[in-house]
Formats: sequence, structure tokens, C-alpha cells
Amino acid sequence: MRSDAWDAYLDALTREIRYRPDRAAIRREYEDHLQDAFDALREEGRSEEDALSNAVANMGDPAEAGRALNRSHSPLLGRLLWLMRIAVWLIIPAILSLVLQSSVMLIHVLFTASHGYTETDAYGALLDSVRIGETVSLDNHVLTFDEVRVYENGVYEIRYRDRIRLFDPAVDLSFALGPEQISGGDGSHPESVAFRRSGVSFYNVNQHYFCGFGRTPDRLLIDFDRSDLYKGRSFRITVDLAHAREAAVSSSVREVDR
Amino acid sequence: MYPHFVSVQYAEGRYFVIKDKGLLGGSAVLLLLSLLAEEDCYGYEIIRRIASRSDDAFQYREGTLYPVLHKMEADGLVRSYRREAENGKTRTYYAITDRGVKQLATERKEWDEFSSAVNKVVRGGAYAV
Repeated sequence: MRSDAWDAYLDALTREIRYRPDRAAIRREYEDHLQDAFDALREEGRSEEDALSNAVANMGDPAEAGRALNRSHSPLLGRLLWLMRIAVWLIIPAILSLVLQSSVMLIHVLFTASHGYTETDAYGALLDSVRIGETVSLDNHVLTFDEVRVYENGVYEIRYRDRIRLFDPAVDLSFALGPEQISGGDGSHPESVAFRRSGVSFYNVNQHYFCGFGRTPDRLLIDFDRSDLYKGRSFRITVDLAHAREAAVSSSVREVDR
Repeated sequence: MYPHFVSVQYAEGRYFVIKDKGLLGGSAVLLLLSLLAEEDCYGYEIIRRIASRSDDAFQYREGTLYPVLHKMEADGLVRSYRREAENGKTRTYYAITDRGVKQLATERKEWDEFSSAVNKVVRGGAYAV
């Protein structure tokens, strides 16, 4: 049931609500009330016209009620609520995706040996494996160089983990190791063969495969220098391959001695 | 401050003559929480229940009910939801919250103290709780 008197009442009421998104719900609630009051008056035997005008009259002053409602529906309060709702809808998927990603990574790390690195037999047998065990800090990255592996076909693999410190105010630049930053003992640079990265946004394990050193290097130099970008943005790691080979040989000699 | 809901008219032969103090206006929250503690209600239902229980003692403008309910909702005493009423139409129901239950206990205690004090004065020494 609708009438001009109803609409006039509802218009005068909702006009007072400054926070417009709440107007529709308030209008609906008052319209429901008018409808119920009208139905009850009709049941009492009042004429339609009489019931209509009485239902509106019993409501009182629409502007007064509207002003009182406006105090609980202030624009500031409404906007805060909306912001909170939006924030919740943004944060929940972000958290879910982070949890999902990290659990996938965790399972990966748990079920594969050594920090989630993947073994390969694409380059022949593994001849040598040298532990590096050095950690450097670069921007918001924490780079842990774990291992150099030498394969039958002359391929060298560098294994390192790249953890990004979340909420670190340091500059956020991506990090990648290229052949120009790797050199053998004689200063020759290798060629890049393959690169494998796995992990989540803030934790990755990286496996770089290089080949083509001038001759079998006795040491491997990782020389990262981008201090042209930011002061001190550089690090240098030397891996003694000859020593490791000797150590490997001597340990196997010891094995024989036993 | 809660919006003025009940403005009591002096009715002959009745005891409700406290309208100048606006006290019943303040006790609107007590009335509404008492009703909602029993059952979830929508606005028009509340009006009908107050009328039938008080023998129409309260005279007020029905439109002033909702500002009180909305303020109570903003204060966390009640919450609202849409549900189908027994007449098949969808209505906005109000339900009392945990905080509302606590508030009701406080307001009931205050009301009991107040009404017993008034009774002691009105009925003299003969009155005992």
C-alpha cells in the first residue's frame, strides 16, 4: 500500500540522514512499520483513507525522527565501517594466499632434501659438492649461499636461498645472479645454462647452472657489485674448489686407510 | 544520550506523572531491552507489545522508536537482521546482545531502587517491599 502521505513522510524523514547509503534501509524499515500500522487499522474496521492518514499521524514528526536517526548514522561512522569492511575483504585473501603459499613451501622443504633444492641428473653424475655456508645481506634480501656442485659435463651449479625480510624499510629490488658476476680463478666468465627458482614470494631457493669456464677453475668467485645504484650494494664470495677437491680426496684416502 | 522516546501524558487515575523529569524517556532502553530479552522483535511488534502490556498507558509518537533502536544498535546493546515475520513479510528484527543483557541487569536494578524509593514516599511507612 502506498500513498502520497506515506511518501511525503518517508521523504521528509530520510532527507535528514546525511549518510546516504543508510537511507534505503531506514526508509524500508519505516515503510514496513506504516504498512503494519495500516493493516492493523483496517482490521479494526477503519476506512482505507482513515487508516492511511492515521498510520502517518501516529508516527509523529518525520524531521524530528530523521534528525535523531542521523545521530546514529553519521557519515564518519558509516565511512569507517565501510573502510573496515573493505580492509577485511582485502586482508583475508592476502593472509589466506600467504598461508597457502608458505604451507606448500613447507611441505616442499620437508619432503625434499636440503632446503627445498631439486636434484637433477641432466648434466651427468655429480663429481663434487662444496659447501659455501655464507650469508650476505643485500637491500631487504638475506642471501644464503649453500653449495657449489660440479657435474660430469662441466656444469657448475650454485645453490642459494633468497629470503626477503617483510616490513623491512630497505629498498626493495629484485636480486638475480648473472654470468657476469661469476668468474673462475683466472677471471673467465661462464655461460648461463639454466636457472631454477622455487618458493614463495618471500622465500625462494635458487639453482643456477653455468658452464664454459676457460679451464677447470680452482676457485669460484661471486662478485656482485651494483654500488653504482646504491652505496655499498655489493658483496663478494670466494669458493675454494681446489681445496675442497683435496679435502674430498684426503677424506676418501682416510676412508681407504681405515 | 538516547533520543526521547516515551513522553508520558498525565492521565487521570494513573501514577505516571514523572514526565517533567524525562525519566521515562531515559527508561526507554530498559523497556526495549526487557521486551527483547524475551524474544526477537521488529519495530511494529515492539509497539504493539508495549501497548498491550501497559494498557495503553504510554502515549508517544511511533516514529521515535527507531532512533532509539538504532542508537542501541550502534552502542552494541542490540543487533538487527532481516527475517520473515509470521505474516509472511520480511521485517527488520532486533535481538538483544550479551552487552545488552548486562545493561538490562544494571538498568533493572536502578529501576527497582528508584521505584521502591518512590513507593516508600508515596505510600508512607505502611509500604514494605
